[in-house]
Amino acid sequence: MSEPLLIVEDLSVRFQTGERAVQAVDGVSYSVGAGERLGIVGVPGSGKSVLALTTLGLTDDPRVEIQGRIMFDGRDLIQLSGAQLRRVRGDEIAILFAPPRSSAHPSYTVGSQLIEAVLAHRSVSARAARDRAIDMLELVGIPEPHRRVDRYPHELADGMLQRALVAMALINEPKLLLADEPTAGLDITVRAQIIALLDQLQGRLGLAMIIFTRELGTAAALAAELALLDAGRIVERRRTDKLGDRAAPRARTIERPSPRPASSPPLVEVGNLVKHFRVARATVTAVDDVSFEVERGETFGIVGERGCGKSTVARLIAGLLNPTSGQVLFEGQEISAYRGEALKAAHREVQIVLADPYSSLNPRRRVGSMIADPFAIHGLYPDESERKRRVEELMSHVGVDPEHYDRRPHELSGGERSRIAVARAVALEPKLLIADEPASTLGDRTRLEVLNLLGELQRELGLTLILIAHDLAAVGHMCDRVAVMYLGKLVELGAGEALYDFPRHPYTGALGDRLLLSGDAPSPANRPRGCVLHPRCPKAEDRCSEQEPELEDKGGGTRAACHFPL
Amino acid sequence: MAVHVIHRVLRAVLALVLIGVLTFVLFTVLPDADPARLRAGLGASPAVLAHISAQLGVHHSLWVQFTDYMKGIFLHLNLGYSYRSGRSVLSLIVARLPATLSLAGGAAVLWLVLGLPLGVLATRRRGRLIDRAALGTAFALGSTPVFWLGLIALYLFASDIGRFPILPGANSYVPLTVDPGKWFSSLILPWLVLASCQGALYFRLVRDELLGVSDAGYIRTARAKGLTERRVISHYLLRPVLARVIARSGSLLGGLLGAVVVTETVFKIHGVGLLAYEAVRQSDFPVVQGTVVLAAMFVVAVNLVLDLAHVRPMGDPEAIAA
Amino acid sequence: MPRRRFRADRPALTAAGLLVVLVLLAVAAPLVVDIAGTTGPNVRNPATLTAFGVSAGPSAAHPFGVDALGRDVFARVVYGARVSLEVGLLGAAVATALGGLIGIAAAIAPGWLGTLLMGAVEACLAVPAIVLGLGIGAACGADGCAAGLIAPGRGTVIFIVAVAGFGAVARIVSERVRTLREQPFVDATSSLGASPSRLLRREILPNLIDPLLVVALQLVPMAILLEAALAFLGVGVRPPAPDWGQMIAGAGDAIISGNPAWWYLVFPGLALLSTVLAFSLVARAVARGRGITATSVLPA
Repeated sequence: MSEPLLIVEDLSVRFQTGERAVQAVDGVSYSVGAGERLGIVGVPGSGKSVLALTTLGLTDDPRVEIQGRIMFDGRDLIQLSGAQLRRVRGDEIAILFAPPRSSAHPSYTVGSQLIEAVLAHRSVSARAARDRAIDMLELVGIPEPHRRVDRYPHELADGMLQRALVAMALINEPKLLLADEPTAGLDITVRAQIIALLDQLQGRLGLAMIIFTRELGTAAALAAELALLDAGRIVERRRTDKLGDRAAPRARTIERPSPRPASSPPLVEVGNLVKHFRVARATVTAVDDVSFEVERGETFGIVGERGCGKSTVARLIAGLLNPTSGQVLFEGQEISAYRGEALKAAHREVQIVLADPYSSLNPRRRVGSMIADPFAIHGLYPDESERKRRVEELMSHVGVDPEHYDRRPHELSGGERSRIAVARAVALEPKLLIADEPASTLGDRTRLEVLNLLGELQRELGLTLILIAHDLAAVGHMCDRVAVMYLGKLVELGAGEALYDFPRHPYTGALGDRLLLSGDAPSPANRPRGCVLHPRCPKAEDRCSEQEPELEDKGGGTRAACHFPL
Repeated sequence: MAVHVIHRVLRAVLALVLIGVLTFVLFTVLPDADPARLRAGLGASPAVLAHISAQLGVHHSLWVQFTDYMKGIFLHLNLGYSYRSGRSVLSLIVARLPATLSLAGGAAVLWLVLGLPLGVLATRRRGRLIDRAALGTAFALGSTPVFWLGLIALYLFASDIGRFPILPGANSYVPLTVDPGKWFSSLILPWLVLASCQGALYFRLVRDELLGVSDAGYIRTARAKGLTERRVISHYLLRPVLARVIARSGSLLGGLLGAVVVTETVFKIHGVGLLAYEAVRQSDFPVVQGTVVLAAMFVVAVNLVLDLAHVRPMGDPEAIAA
Repeated sequence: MPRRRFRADRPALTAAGLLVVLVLLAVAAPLVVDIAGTTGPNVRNPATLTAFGVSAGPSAAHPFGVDALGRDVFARVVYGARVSLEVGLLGAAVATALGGLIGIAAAIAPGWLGTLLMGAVEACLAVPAIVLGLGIGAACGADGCAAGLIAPGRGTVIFIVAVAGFGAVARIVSERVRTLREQPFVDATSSLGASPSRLLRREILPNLIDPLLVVALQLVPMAILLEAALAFLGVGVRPPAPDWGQMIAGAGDAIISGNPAWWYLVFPGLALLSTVLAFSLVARAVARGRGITATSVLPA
């Protein structure tokens, strides 16, 4: 074995902020050889970004104390002068950041930013630099690179922009690439593409690569050697023999709800639902001819990435929006026909919990008062102390200390805020509860807790639960049936677990990481003709661009809309 | 992008129309005084009053008066006539423009040349002595009335009355064409005074903008590419910040015009500001009204130009956020 | 949390202390003058003038000297605080209330009406404050405006400050309300069955308190400077009422004609400067405490 390319020896990094000192990294050592890969995994705050930045001397804080050595190619990077370090950056060692939007300057073209990276280290003509830029854009799989090179960052979709940034990082053929959360903020199907891209390029160009990420799955997909980081220290090192095998999904601790009762008329019927929005003089189709039914007592999931229309469907069912056409029936009655008192009464039966527990609670109001809202609005428990007692009961029921009654949302943790939102929604014991990406911005463990809570409440109150999510893996086990949406269309509908393990529609397969789509999702204002997935689908043929597939029974209780199902 | 331009121009046109409405309400509807007497000035004879009343059309309905007024301004650029001097308000203003431009232009050069680099310097040494001193001075100067600073300057340095007579005092302004040397020296004190107060604002503006972008992710990416610090600063910090400062100058324009009026009054520089002041003193109402209308339209026009010159590719998040 | 940060900001604390003293001085002006033992603000004492009309400088009897008419400058400065504070605080309050109402109206009104309202606000914003002041001063200075509702003198100045200031408030409020309406928590309460008026009252308005407070505080120093500038230019409270701007104007006249009366230029000016600076520092500290960056409302 040759001498490793990068050796980090007993590295410690300490920040002096105000009066406090923060030990971000504490005695960390690792190494990576030429052409090898290493994954460093840790939750936010564990110090992994600091590791990446310190390697190239990019910690902006002048009051930082660094101890230890970072040996690269025989030199200690920590001892290098500013000018020497600058020569290493972007030439021998490159960093890739995410999210892509904040890494590229919005006012300069993509090409100019790439060319700049070349000219900083090579004395070539501008023309030659530009050619190099175009070649790199092609290498990372960007179609029509000679046109895209003159585009501004905001004209590229997230995935394409991240590819361009990969091109920028690798443009001078560095020996080592540090990828700091390279898939953060990207849609699931795009994330898979970037991982595949990094995998491919690393092999092709033979560079060494260190991935810094919070997702064990991403790290494991790219590196056989893993180091787990916690509070600035390496707590575990792992080695897997097989690459490309994603670590097993999170433990299935979500309890399955008890089987639903015998058939009775469906609680919710959605028929040929269509919703258009006018956005800046263009018409955006958010929901395109979607039909399904939700049975009483069922846990029904709607899954898809950003822009698929699932939140719009949720709001349509909750009566917050009116459909452009089609019907939404709740207990046989058309929701949008309700007015006045009848509408108010209907709100008692259908409740919605919204995503992002911070912005779904008014930051200026007190938590107890917000939970009391449903009672106040519908005139229940007119006696003040009775009402407060009832609210406190609800709070303990969802697992929040009733002592917090008078607190404001920002004084509570993300998990507690989610629970408050749930408490508010179930206060009136509705028949239907719609949970729109509950706790999606929170950590894995918290999210599981909230989902468990929803499951418990469902059992206790016998309510029907519609769960909106973007992660099929997390939600699949919990739902009786799942509907998968893409660009406003319902592409597959079937039993929860079955969809994850045996997808029929290519998009479902991509969500479950069994298939790779190409490119980014188009904007809902520019939906493709024929099958909406065809520009990105590896199985697409001519028929797919001409004829829209219908949702048909594909066996096993699953319906899919695809001409060439899996 | 063309749609955006048209939209912006229409907004400006709407603003101009509304300025007409606003000034009409302010100067014709609101005052309780007799409209003719207001405009005739002090000591006008009944015959003159009657004549002016007829000219104003006070016997017409409010709506007719309004349409006449709007037509006058927008179709004929007629801002009224000064009954004192008999000349059109527009011609009076135009005659006084060079002086105002001399004052404002020179001061602008001064505060940009001094204020902007100082803002950059202070940001680079954020928190240290020079930053705190500069910020403190900027705050103090920003709270100082321009007219007071002007008088103090005259009291100290004016050649005729000052303690340390080194520069020409008030009322020494001559146009550039008459005597360039005297023109220049007479403007030094006014320039310094005006530039100090405005410069304080610009300094804070630049500093705020710079602090806003220093932490941006793209700065870090630029450094990570191995660009020299100088390139990072000039290309990624200064240029965008400069663009934003210029864009925001539009909203500072109103304050600048007010400061110009006051400075001209203190130093007796015969510009548009002094014209307005004298008109108020002499109850020459049409001149006051005309100046208000023209000033407002000027601000709208400048803001339009700044917005359009600054037009970025559509959908640019910075443009949207602005 | 905000209160702790305020305490840490030492200049702001000093400024706040200064303001408290100032308000007390203004309110108790007659008492203060009494204690100081100087003559009243409007008492002319020809004995203090020399044969050529040159007034006397600071002395035991007149700590700030006398002005060109023999009036005690100290008393006039103390009484002058009344006008500045009154116009500053009242004017800012009126501008904030007016701007707030219009801002909310513009945000919740149907499309075209909202655009029209904001267009009117932008038109008002386009007129430079001092120029506007000259105009309104000329229009209303003679016999008042709006059927006597706006009296010449103090009333007119407050009106000018209100017109000059409300636009900035309206713009900020309108934008805020627009953003708030789209927040998920508004949807959430709406889905509980809340009426639009309840949504406005209990969800949106509480979130306007902070921005309005900050804007109002930033308007006060601007209003005081505006009032002083207008008084300097001759549009303001009627003489012989003591007013810092007018005093500076009088001092200017005296100095230009060769009367070296620095005391009655400097003292009112320092009073003005420190008052405006104090309010600015307090406004900035409160804004920072509430997490809003300053320089959002720019001077008139």
